[in-house]
Amino acid sequence: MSFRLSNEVRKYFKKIDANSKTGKFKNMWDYYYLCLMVGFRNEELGEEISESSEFNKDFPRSYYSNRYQIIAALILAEIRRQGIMKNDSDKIRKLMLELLDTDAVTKISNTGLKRMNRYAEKGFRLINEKIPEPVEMDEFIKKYYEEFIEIDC
Amino acid sequence: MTNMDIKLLKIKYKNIREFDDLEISFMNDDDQEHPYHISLIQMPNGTGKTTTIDLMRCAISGQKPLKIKSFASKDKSIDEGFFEIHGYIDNQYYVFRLNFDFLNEECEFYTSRPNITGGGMQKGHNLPVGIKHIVDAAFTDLFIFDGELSKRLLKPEYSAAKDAIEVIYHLDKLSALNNEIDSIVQDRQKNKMSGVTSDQGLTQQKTRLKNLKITLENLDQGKSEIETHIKEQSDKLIGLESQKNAYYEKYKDAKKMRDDILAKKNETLQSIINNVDETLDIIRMPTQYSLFFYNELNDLGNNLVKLKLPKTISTEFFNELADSERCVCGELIDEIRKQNILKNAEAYLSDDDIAEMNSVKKSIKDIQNYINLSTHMEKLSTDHRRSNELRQELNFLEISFSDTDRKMYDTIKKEITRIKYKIENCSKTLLYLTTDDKIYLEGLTEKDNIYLCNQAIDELTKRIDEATNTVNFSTQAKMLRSINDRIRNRANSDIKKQIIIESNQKIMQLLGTNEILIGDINNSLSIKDRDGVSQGQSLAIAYAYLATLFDDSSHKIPFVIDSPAGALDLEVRREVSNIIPKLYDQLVIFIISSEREGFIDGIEAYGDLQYVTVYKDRKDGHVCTNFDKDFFMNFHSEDANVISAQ
Repeated sequence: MSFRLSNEVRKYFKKIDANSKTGKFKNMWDYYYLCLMVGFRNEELGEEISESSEFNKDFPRSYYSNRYQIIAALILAEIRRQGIMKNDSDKIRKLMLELLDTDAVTKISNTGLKRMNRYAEKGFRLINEKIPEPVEMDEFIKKYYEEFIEIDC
Repeated sequence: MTNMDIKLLKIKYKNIREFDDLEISFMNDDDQEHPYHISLIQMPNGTGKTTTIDLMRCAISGQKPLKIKSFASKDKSIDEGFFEIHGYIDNQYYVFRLNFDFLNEECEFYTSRPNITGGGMQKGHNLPVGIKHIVDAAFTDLFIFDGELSKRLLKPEYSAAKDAIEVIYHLDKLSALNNEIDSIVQDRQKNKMSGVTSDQGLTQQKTRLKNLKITLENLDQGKSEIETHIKEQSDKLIGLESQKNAYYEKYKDAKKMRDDILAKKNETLQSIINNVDETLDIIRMPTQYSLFFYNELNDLGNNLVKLKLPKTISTEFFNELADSERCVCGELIDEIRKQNILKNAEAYLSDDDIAEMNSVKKSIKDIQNYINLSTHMEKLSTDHRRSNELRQELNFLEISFSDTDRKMYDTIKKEITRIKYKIENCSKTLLYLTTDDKIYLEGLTEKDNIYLCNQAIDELTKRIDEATNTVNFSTQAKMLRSINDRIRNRANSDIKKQIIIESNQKIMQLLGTNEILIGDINNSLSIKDRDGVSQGQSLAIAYAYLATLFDDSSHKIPFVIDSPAGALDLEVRREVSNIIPKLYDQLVIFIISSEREGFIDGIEAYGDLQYVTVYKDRKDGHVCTNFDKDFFMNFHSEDANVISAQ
């Protein structure tokens, strides 16, 4: 099991990469991450993504140092989605055990990866809804900020 | 063809029906190397003659008997028994034993080859490799002969006569070879993914491949045309751009201003790009993504500390403690305590899990201050606005041109826009035509895309190669079958002709008439100009036919006959007894007393023979043997169960 992105997501971001004069994404994990954080914030899971859509087996260099924060964000999203009480030590411990796997390359269990892929898929649906067919990178980043980041500031 | 040399030396019974422990030897006491030419074994009805013949057939062919219980000892307390046949096969001493387990109705073959194995019995019916495939049940039926076979040779509904030729001359092996060929071809066809097994299917695939190659040619041509077109348009664009720039050369002030604006525009663009990169760099860290995540993740980190998660003591500690004699506090750890410790240890994590959880916790504890992205976004907006303003300023510059020049300049600009649009469209078409990127391939087929077309061609070529091999293999197999069939038919026809001539000579000698002759051999033997023959005549025909077959085949095989003369007239008996000893090197003949007359007279002339009488002892009912000629000649079947050993 690894990180997955549907063709629709890839097409959406690749179009920006191909046409924009105002910047480019570093890699496909940028696509994934921008969708993932929207999904986490929204605390909703999208549809499952097929195996053929796998793109990365591990975190790329640009995200490697932040991998544990990303896992923490997954745990946070799951705590909120499942309505686990902050002081419920037992449930939080069980959840962490469910999402972590010390033997996995990513340190995330298959369950955890599946959830992440579904959060990313849901995040993309919301992005596509709010920012349809962007062309320039600066416009995309600005709208993304306004729609998904600024509201929490 | 393998020529066999088989000699039977003796048979042994142990706890088989009436036979407690009996041995009948076919060996000549004066010549241990060779068995008697003829062994006459007189067994009255009811003494186990059919049992003996059946067991001999099984022991030689390796075919297990069907009704095991029918061979069980008359003594119900005995559960096991065996039957052995000893003999030479190609001058090697062999013993085949059939072990019976009457209780479980099971039997098992054992083989001994004293010269090779030193006398020990090995499990299985281990005939020499060279003849293993020849000596089967059908073949054995031909030389362990009973009256039933003679009937089957003449009845059209049976194919015994034809089968006998097939078996003795190994023509049946050609049929088996054909079956083997069919099975190999079928396996090969099954294993191939192409599923194409016929010439017609192959032609269809080849036509498809031809069409695909034409499609690829068209796609390649289309690609080349689009590339040429893009090149032409790009050249045109360069020309138009230089024409456009030429107007600025005419208006020096405007040119200077334009250069300044373009420099500022580039500067703004670079600022936007840097801003985008910086923004992405910041938000790639979840704690800096938004204030919400900054606060919530910070909160989660503190909460994990508060909840003492993960617990610093691991399951490993408790597992070790449970195995200790005493607790760290000094208390004795009994079985109940041990189970409690192990049960509660489940609530703790492994060392590895603790390490991972700590890494997660550490990543969200004491995080740096939140960087508000609003400044970046404001700058992005400003730069964006500035970029638009600069574009408008460029347009204003053109106002300073004369009317004529401005009109021309506008026309060139429009043409540039048109050509750029054209190039963009052509590039898009080219992208879909040539891409191997999964994203763009979605919805495309081999008719729209060169990569997919090449893939389809490769795949189809592979399938056709496979199919061609399979079809060629099938064709070659068909040819081999046809050659086999021709060899078989030709051999069958030639052999039959020769066998008919030789068999008829023997029949004439046996019956003393040329009125009963074999006309043809189809499935069975057809008698010339006659609808039927007597039982005695059919027996004579069978002897003649089988003797001819074995005589011509150059196998040296013993002939075991059950009731050879029962149905024959006295005259025919004499002829049969005169002829059959000449045809076989070893004869084992089972007879009853009523068959002696006429038959023994002829046989006796051959000298090298033994007389064996097998009978039931009147006192204890056990089966005994007597090797005395006078006893043999005076023994009467009707006395079988009453006569006492003399």
